[in-house]
Amino acid sequence: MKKYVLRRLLQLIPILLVITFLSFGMMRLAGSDAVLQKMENTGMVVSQEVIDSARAELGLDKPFLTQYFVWLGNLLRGDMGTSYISGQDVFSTFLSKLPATLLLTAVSILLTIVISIPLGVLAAVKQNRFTDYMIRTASFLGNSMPNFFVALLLMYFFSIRLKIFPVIATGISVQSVALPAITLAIAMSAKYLRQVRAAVLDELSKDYVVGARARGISFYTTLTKSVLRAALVTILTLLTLSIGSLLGGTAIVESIFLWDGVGKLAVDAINMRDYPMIQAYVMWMAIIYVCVNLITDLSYRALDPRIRLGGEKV
Amino acid sequence: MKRQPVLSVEDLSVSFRMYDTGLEQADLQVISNLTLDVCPGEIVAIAGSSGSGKSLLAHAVMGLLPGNASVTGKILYKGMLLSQKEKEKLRGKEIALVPQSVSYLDPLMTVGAQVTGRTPDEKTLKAQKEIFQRFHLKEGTEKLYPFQLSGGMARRILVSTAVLSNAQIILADEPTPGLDLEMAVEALKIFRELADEGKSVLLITHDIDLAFHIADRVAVFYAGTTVEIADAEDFQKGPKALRHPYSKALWEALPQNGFKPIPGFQPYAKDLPKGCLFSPRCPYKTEECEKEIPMTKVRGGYVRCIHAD
Amino acid sequence: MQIEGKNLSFRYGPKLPWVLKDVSLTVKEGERVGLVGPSGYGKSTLVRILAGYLKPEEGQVLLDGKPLPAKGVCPVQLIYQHPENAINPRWKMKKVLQESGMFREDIMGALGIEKDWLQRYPRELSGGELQRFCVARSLFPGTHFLFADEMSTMLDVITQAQIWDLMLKEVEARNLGLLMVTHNMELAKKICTRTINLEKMNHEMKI
Repeated sequence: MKKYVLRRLLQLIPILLVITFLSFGMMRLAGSDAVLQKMENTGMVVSQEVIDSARAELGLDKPFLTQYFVWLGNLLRGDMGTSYISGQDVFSTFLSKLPATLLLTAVSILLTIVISIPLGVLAAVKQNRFTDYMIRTASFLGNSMPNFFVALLLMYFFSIRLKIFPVIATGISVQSVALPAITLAIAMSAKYLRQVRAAVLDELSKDYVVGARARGISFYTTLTKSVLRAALVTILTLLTLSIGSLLGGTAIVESIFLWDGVGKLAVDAINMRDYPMIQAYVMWMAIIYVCVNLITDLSYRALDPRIRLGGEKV
Repeated sequence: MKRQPVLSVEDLSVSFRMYDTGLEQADLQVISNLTLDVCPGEIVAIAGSSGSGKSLLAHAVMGLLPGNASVTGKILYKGMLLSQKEKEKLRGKEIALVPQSVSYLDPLMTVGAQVTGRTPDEKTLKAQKEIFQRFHLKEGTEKLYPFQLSGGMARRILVSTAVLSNAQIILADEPTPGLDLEMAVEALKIFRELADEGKSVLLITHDIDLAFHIADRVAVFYAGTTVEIADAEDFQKGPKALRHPYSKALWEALPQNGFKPIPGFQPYAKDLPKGCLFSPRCPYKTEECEKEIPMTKVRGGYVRCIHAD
Repeated sequence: MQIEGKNLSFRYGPKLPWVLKDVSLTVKEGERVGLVGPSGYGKSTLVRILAGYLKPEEGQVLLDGKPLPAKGVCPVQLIYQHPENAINPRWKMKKVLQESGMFREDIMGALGIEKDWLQRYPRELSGGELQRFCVARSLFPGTHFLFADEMSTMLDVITQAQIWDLMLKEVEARNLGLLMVTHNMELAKKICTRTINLEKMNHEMKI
C-alpha cells in the first residue's frame, strides 16, 4: 500500500518534466513575449535597445533550451523565479491566491454533493413519477444556462434585490464565496444529478437487489448500504475530474465576481506571457491531477472489495 | 383428512408489458392459469422446460416481480391471501428464496453478513458454522466476498442463506447446477431434513433425476403452466406411470433413460397456441385439443390433457 | 491434429493459491473427452487455458507441437454455460450469425435454427435456442476442437438432449475433438469416449 502510493507519487517527476517542457515550448510558439506585452499595455513607444536590454535582463535573449534548463536548475534549488510583470516572487504570489481557490472549490463541491446526490437518488427511486420529472426538468434547466448567465441572475436577486451577498468579493469570507460557489454548484449539480440517477438506476436493476429483498432486507438498507456505495464508484470518478478543474481555477466565474484565485492569475499570466508564473500554474495542475487521481483510486479500494482484494485493476 | 397447504397458488397468470422497437407494445403471457400447492413436510419439485415460468413463479410468490408485470389469480400462505405488502413482510422470514444465480449476492458485502445478517446472534453463528461444514466450505469462507467464490461455492452459500433463515417454506430456484454429485445430494438431503421437521420446500430444478428421488410430489411445467402434478414415485417408475406426453418426453430425454429428444420447441410467449400449449409438438393432437384444457384427476395425479388415461 | 496441455499451472494472482498445478492432458481430433471432478478443482480454468483465453503461469498449450495461433480463427472454440452472456444483447440474431459468417442455410439447418428466430433479440429466445446460435457461430471451417463448459447445465433435459444430438452429429461429420465439462456422469457416459477426473490429476486442491 505504502509502496503503491510512493510509486504513484514518483510518477509525478516525469510528468512534471514533460509538461513544463511542453508548456515552455508552446508559449514560445505563440509569438510575442513578456517584454512586448508589457510595452503594449503601457502604451509606451520605446526603442529596440530598451526592448533588447529588458529581454537580456529576463534572459529571454538566450536560446530556448538554455532558458528551459536555467529555469529547471533554479526550480531544483527551490527557486521558482520572479514574475516578469510584477517582479514579485512567483511562489509566494501563487500561494497567496491559493486560499481563495481552495475555499471556492471546497464550498462548491460540497454544495454539489449536497444537492446532486440526494436529488439524484430520489429521482432514481421515484423513476418516471412526478418527483422524477420535476428533478429532471430542474437538471435540464441548470444544464442549459451558461455560467455567466447564472452568475448575473444570482447577483441580481441576492445582491441587488435582497442585498444578502456582496456583488463582488470583499476578501475571502463566507459572504463573498456564496455566490460564486452557488454558480458553480448549479452547473455541476445539474450534470451530476443525471449521473447519480443513472448510476443508482443501473445498480437497482441488478439481481443482488432482488436477492436482498428476497432475504427480507428493507429497501432503505439495501439502498444506503449497497446500492449507494456501488453507485459512488461512478460518481467519484466524475467528482475527481471536477475537483481537478476547480482547483485549477474557474476563470469566468472568478472574473465576474472578482474572486482573486489562481484561475484569474493563470489567465492574466498567459495574456502577459509571464512564463515563470505559467510554469508554476502548469505544475500545480499536474500535481493536482496526479494527487486527486491517487486519492480516487485509494477510495475505490476502500469502497469496493473486488479492487481491494482481487488485484483487479481500476 | 387433507392437510392445509402452507402455500397454494390458484389460477395464477403473469404477463409482462414489453416495448418493442419504437412504441409498439406487446403483452407477454409468461404464466397461464397455474395451480399448485405445497403442504407442511413436503418437497414439491418443479420440473419443466427452460423458460416455462418456473423462476417467475418463485418471484411472484415472493413479490419480487418487476414493475411491468401484471399478476392475476391468488397466492395463499397458510390459507391467508397474500398482498404485496404481506409478501414483503414474510419474505426472508417465513418464505425464503434460494436464487438462481451468484449475481443475487451483494458484491460489496461479505458472504457471512449475507448468510447470517449483519449482526448475528450466537445461535445463528453456530448454525452457520454447522451448515458450512456440511457443505465442505472451509472456515474463513464467511469472510470472503462473492467475487472470490467459485460457482459451486456460491451455490452452496445461496442454499445456506435460505436454510438459516428458518423460514417455513423455501423456494429453491435451481439450487444444484455447478455442484458435483456429492454436494448436490448434500443440498437435497438438507432440504429433505427440513421437510421432515415439518417445513416445506418448492424445488425448481433441471436435475430432475435427483429431484424424483428426494421429492414427494413433482409438478411438470410447460410454457408457463402445469401440465402434470403427481407423486414422485410415478416419475421414478417411468413413462407408463406418467400421464402427460410432455412428462413422458422429459423422462425419456434423461441421459440414463435413452437420451431421446422430442422434436420442436416450446411456443414463444408472444404467440401461444390455442388450447393445449403442448399440442403443436404432441403426437396425439386432435381438434379437441384447441379448446381450453382443465386439470383433471387421473390415476391419483392431476393432468392437463384430454387424452390421458 | 491434437491439442496438448503440458504441465499446466495457474493461479489468479501471484500470492493466491494455485488453482491448477502440473496438469497435463491431450485431446485428439475425433475424440470426445469428458472433464469431471468436484466443484472448485479448476475445470473451467483448465478449459479456458486450453482454448487460449487464459495464459498459464507454468507449462504450455501446444497444437500439434506448436503454440496456438495468435491471429485469425482459433482452431479451438469455446461454448459457455450462459449463452445470454456470450451474445450481444443489442443485436438481432441474424446479425449475430452474420458477424461470424455463419448466416448459412446448411449451418442453420444442422442446428435446427428456425427462420423466425433470426428477427428476434437475444432476450426473446430461450437458453436452449440461444445455445444453438453459440454452437452455430463456432463452427468455422478452421475449427478443429469444440470445448463445452457446462454447456447444457442450465437447460431442461429435452433441450439438453436436442442440442447434444445436433452437436454430436456435427462433431462426427467434421471429425472435431470435443472436450466437455460436466457434473452429470450419466451425460458424460452417453457422450464421451473417455473421461478425465481432474481430482486425480490436479496436484493442488482448492477448498
